Amino acid sequence: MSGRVRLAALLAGWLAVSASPIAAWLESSMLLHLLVQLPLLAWAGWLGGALLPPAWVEWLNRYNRRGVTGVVLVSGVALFWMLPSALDASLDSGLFAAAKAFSITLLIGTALFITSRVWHPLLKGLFLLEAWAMLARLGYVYAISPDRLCTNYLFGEQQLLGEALLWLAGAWAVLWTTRIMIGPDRPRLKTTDGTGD
Amino acid sequence: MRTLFSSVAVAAACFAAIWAQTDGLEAFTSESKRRLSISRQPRPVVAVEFQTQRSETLGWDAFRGRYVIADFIYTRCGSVCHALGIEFSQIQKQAADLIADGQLHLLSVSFDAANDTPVQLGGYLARFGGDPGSWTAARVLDARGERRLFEQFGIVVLPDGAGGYAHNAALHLISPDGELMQVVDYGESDELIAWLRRGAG
Repeated sequence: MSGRVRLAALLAGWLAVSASPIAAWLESSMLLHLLVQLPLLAWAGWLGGALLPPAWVEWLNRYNRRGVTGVVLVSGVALFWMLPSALDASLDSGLFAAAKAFSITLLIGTALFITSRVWHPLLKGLFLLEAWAMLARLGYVYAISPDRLCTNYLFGEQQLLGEALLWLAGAWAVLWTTRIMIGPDRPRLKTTDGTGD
Repeated sequence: MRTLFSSVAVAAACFAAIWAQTDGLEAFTSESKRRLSISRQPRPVVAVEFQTQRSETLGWDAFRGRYVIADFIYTRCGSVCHALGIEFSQIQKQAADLIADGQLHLLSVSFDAANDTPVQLGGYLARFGGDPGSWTAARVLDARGERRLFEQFGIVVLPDGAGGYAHNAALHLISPDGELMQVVDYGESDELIAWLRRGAG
């Protein structure tokens, strides 16, 4: 597929997930919203990042030495969308819905792709570990909270989502540990941008 | 250096967005945002016509000069509304002096107008030993007015899949001149009454 075809396909997929009857269906369920729609948006951003001219990525990464800026950006935007009120607003207001679609795609997905070209292995490890821990923490909060955190979703669904997140975190932990113990001996403690420390 | 500046700028922007969205790190859910905004800035209640358990038609004017504590229920509800009903009957006892003094009135508004006829509403009051003189159960017959009222009070009602509804259960305080001024969780009527005694007493 040529770059242009790939870009068109990606845009079509992105529109389907962010603004179409499919999007409405995904958003009708808290589980599908958080575990399918949001990851798909970020993934689309990542794939879009891979289509960027390498020179642009390089230019952006002049402001992103060892991936520090990117990791700060991705963490900050993720934190914002973890606010229950922000998620509710994305269902109640078109402005927030658009902000969600664009920011998760570009400021998380694409930013992560660009950052992944240059991030320091330690920063990458730290980021992934924190992402894993946040998954488990969120799962725990959703599973045990006595309050309905999002007014657009039922309490039972919130608890179900909490359990699902905890299972995901558990599976991630097992896979990760297994890979470290018996996987290929791959960790390299030098930066990938070739500049060294 | 460039990276340092950009990461600090990015961090500041993210923090500002989170600060704004949480009203200064005070409200994290849409429910708490709504309550904070109401208590900071009371607003006149949306004008609607209620139909009461006595089949009377009346508006907010009927309660003018009195504080009103309002909750939102449906009479077939066995869970949260039951707790709200019990809480209201406790308020009737605890604040009997304020009520007798004409300073406080209780209002249960049904969001199931199709099913909650005046008979059903009367039955709801009777179930909790409600004194109809100081506790009114009512429905809003005009669907548009109901929607606007619920929007203002932040009432979100979702079918629970078992023939009932999931809904937010809160106590809403309306001032004697008809302003929605405070929303608290059910179970916090003690504080509301104490506040009324200090402010209104």
